[in-house]
Amino acid sequence: MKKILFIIAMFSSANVALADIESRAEAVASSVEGKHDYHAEMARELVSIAEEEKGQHEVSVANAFMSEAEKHASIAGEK
Amino acid sequence: MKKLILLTVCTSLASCAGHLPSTQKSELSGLHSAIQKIKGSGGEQCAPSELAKAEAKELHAAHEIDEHGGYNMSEADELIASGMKAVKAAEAKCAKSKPVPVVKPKPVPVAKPKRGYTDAEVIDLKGINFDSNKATLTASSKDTLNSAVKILKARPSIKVEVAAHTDSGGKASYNEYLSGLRANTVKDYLISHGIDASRVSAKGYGEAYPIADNKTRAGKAKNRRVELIVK
Repeated sequence: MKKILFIIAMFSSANVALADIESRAEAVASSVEGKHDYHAEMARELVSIAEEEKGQHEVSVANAFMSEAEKHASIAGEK
Repeated sequence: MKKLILLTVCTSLASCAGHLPSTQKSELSGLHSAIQKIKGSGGEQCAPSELAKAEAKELHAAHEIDEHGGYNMSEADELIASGMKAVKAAEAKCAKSKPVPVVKPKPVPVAKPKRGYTDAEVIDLKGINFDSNKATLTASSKDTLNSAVKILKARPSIKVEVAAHTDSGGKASYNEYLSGLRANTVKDYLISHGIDASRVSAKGYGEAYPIADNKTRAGKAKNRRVELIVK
């Protein structure tokens, strides 16, 4: 029983992490919408990589790329 | 049989050698240098999309190399190749957007105008005469001046300078003084006939800018003149 609960917990935490990446990707996409400077483009590219890594269930790698995407998105359009 | 096994091992090692991390790191380093070079020459402005793509590919390739540690590197190879392609695209785009240096033509030496006042449009008021040694307009001058008034009314955007000239008879200082008086007489006439004072100025040039030979009567007559210089 414990094993089953552990497996369910693992799956649910993985799903939460994946959903989190999706929502962060949407947030980045929306913040750079209509912007076409270097940082906006960089944010888009990094989100794309994060999503690709997410698809391969590389959650930690996806998170790392998403963090970089968010940094660029925060700078995008400031200049 | 031993020879066959040895050959197989050698072939495998040779094929692996092309994918060793050191080779890839060198390729990655090449991509990094290319990106930095284009960044340094304003790539962020002239090719933001292409540069971002190249840089993202570089980061992704670096991750793949670290992750796989030298094995199964085809993905990293593809990413590096794709990054280099994006760099080339960025270079091409930036080269296009660079302004072509304009070669300025050498200035053509312009001869100083004989009249001494630029090559502006000049309205020659032929037929304006003054009493000898005076600034009083003769009756026959009125027709010419009325024509000038018509011209100025038809062209309300222009401003003019009344430029009066004399021949070389008499003292230059007197001629300058007299031409100044005559220029002002014409100016007053124009203003009194409806031309706004802000559009008209007057200047006497004396004998300084002849247009004909002052040794002949005909030449002197030509030199005694009044013109409107469009400003």
